[in-house]
Amino acid sequence: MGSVPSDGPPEDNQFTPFKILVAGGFGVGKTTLVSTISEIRPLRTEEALTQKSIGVDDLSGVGDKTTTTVAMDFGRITMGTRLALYLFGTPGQDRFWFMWDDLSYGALGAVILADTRRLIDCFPSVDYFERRQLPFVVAVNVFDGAPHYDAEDVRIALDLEPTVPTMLCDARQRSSVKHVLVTLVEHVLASAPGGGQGALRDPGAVGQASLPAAPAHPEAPPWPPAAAGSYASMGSAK
Amino acid sequence: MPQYDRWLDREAGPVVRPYALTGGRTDPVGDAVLDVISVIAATGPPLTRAEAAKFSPEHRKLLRLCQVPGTVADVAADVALPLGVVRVLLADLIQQKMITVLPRRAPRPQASTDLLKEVLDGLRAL
Repeated sequence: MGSVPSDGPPEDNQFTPFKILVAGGFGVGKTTLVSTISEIRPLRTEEALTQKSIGVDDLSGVGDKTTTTVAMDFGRITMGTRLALYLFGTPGQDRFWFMWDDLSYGALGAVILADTRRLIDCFPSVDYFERRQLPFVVAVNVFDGAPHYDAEDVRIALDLEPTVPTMLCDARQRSSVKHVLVTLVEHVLASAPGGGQGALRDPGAVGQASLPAAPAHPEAPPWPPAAAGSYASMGSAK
Repeated sequence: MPQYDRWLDREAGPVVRPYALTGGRTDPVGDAVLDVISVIAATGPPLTRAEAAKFSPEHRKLLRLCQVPGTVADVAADVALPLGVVRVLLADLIQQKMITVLPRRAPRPQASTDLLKEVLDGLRAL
């Protein structure tokens, strides 16, 4: 009991999880997308209702409710015994920004789901991932009755870099969601020229954590630099 | 068996406010950074009855789950407790060296690229 774990190099058959975020406005189909492609499991978070949520959340009848349980979409795609892709639907409401810092830490990349009727809803996500330099793709979830635009129109409307893949998708269709994820991983590989250092933004991209025994520096993870402070303080953000 | 039209057990929601389980603590102890996909594992065999008495039911449950290495997110989904609470409880167990965070893969760029290509193949094969 209590033996100090080996700190040696991980074996090649070590289980390696990867993390992909699914972002986008409220009701854009994030839950649908995650459940279409993966075994979805409820992951609960207990968050404080902030001043900001007044007028956003209907608090009538629950006057002094100060916390709310938020279910986060969480799905897992297991590939053999040693690889797994974890999908996390980032909470759509603005007041959950602080959770994004935690979730995006060490993530492989992100899928931003967009709805052409409310394109403006995905601006914050685009800004966020651009700032964090986290590779992302924009997938327009095509809703019945929504005005049809092609992917290029959306790129222009969102003022995206030409390198950012944009596509139409149907979050209910497995093949369509698969295509979105394949495009994202290809984009991640392509944004790391020569397969070099940037392929994974940080070793943390593969299920990282500092060992408790080591003098860890949670305040200064190597990536994302901008998120360093907010990540370290994540725990107190509740 | 008569059917009662009411919520029972887990469906009824938590009886205790979530952070009561942590004694009101919202910050994990120690320096360990527990990412949602950090892989954690118990450092020893399942607890004996005498050892188990030293831990809260939630800690014991987490320890049992950690007998098989898994990610923080998986463990949190299994215990059906909020992620923030699970993080605090896991940090306690890490502090007591009952569980450990498995070391991440060495940051060898080539290996990372190879792994990503494997992920790509895995996705295409879905």
